[in-house]
Amino acid sequence: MSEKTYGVKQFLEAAKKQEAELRQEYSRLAELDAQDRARTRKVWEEAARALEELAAALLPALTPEAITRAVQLTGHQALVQESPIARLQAEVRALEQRNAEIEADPRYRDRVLLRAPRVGTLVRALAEVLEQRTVYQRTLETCAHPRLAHLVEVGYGTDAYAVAWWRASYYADWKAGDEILERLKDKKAFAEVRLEYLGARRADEEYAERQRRLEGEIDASECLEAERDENLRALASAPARALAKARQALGEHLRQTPIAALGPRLEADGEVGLLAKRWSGLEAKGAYLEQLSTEQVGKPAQEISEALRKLQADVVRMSRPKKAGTRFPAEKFERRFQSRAPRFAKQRERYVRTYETIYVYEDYHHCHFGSDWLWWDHMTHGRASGDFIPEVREFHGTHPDYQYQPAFDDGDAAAAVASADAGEIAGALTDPS
Amino acid sequence: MRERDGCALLKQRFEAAGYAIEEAYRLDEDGIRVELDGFDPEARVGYEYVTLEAGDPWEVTPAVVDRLGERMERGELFVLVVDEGEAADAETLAFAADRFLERVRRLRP
Repeated sequence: MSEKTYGVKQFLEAAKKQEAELRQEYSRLAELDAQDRARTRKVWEEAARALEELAAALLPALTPEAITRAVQLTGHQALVQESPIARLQAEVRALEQRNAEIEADPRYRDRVLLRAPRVGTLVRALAEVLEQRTVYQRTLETCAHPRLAHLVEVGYGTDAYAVAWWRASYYADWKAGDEILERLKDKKAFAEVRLEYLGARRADEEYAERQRRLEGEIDASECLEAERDENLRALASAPARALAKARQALGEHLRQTPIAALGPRLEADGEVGLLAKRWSGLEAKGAYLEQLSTEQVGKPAQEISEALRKLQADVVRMSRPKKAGTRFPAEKFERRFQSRAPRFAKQRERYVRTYETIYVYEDYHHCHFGSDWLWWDHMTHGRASGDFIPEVREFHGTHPDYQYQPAFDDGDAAAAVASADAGEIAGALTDPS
Repeated sequence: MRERDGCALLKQRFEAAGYAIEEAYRLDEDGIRVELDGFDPEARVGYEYVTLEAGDPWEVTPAVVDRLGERMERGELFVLVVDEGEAADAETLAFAADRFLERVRRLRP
C-alpha cells in the first residue's frame, strides 16, 4: 500500500499560505515592539525622576548637617571628601573678587559717563571723529581715480615728476591729472590737488586710528559690564547649581551601589525609604520590561524572519523544472505547513499579559529591602519564570532556598487572588505553553 | 588693450597727421637695432608698442629705450613708446598719440 504524498504544486500553495501567516505575525510583533519600547522608555524617564526626588530628599540642602545625614544614609563619602560646600564658597569668592575688580575698573565704574547715548565722553568723541572723517572722506572720494595712487607715487605735478614726454604713460598721467583737477573747481593745478589729497589722506588715517581706539575702549567697557552681569547671574545660581551637582553625584552613587546594601538603611528613614523603594522598583521595572520585550518579541521576530528566509529559498528551489516531480511524505509535509497562528497568538497574549502586569505595578511601598527581595516575583506575584533575566537568574542562583512570599498581608492577598483580573493574570502567567 | 588694436589705432592717428607709416620697420643705426611697430623713415616719426605678447622686452631693452630717448632729446627721431599696461583703453592711447604728435610738430626742424 503506497504512502500518501504531496506534489510541488501543493508545496508552493502551502508555502504561500505559510509566508502570509509569518508575515502577518512579524508585522504584529513589530507593532507590539514599537509600542512597548516607547512605554518602557517612559518607565526609564519616570525612574530617572524618582532618582532625582530621592537624591533631593537625601540631600535637601547644601549644609553640613544635610551632608552628614546623606553620608550616613548612603555611604557616599565623596560628599565629605570633595566638599561641595567648600567648592561653592571658592566659586562665590572668585566671582565676587572678579566683580570687585571690575567695579573698581574706571572703564566699568565710569561706564555711564563714558558710554551714555549721545552724551557719554567716548560716544561724543567717536561721533566727532566720524564727523571729521566724513569731511576728509568726501575729499578722498572727489579725488578718487584709478590712476591717482600712481600719480602720487611718481610725483605728478611736482618737480620730482620725471617721466619722459615720448612715453605714453606721460600722456596717460596728463589725462588722469586733468580729469581729477576738473572735479575740484577751486584748484588751478594738480600740485594743489595733490597737497589737498595727501593732507586729507593723512588726516583720515589719523582719525581712523582714533576711531579704532575709541571703539576699542567702548567695547572693553561693554565687555566688562557684560562679564559683571554674567558673574552676578552665576552668583545667584551658584548654590542651586552646587546642590544639583552634589545630588547628581549622589544619584550616580546610588545607581552604582547594590540596593541590597543600601536599602535597609534608606528604609529606616520614612520618606527617604518610600522614595528609594519607588526608584528601585522603577529601575527594576524598566530593566524587566526591556528584557521581556527582547526575549518574547525581539527573538520570536528574528526567528520568523529566519523562517521566512528559509521558506523563500525552498520556494525558489522547488520552482525549478527539475524539481517538478518531487513528492513530499504527507506526515512531514503536514507537520511543516501546519498553521502556527494559534501558537503565535498564545505566545503574544502571554507576553502582553506579563508586560501589562509589570507595567501597571505601582505597589513599591510593599518592598522590604533585604537580601531576599526580588522585584520580579513581587511584580508578577511569583507566578512567572524570569530566569531569562540575568538579575533574576543570579538571584535564584545565590538564594537556593528562596521562596516567594507576598509582601502584602493575607487579606490583601486573598482579595487579589479572588479578583477576576488577578485570576486571569495568574492563568496567563502560569500557562506552560 | 591688445597690441594689434593699439598699433592699428596708432597707425591711423599717425597717418591722419600726415606721416607715411611703415609697419615692422627695421631701424638699424647708431648702434640701435630694433624693429619698430610703425615708422615713417622720411619724417623719422613712429611708435613702438612694447608688449610681452610680442616678445618686445627682449629686444626693446631699457638700454635701447634710453638710446632712443637720447636721440629724441636731440631731435634726431621721434618714437612714441607705449608700455603694455599704460594704454588700458583706446581713449587714453588716442589722447597720448595726439598730444605726442602735437609736440613733435613743434620740435621737428
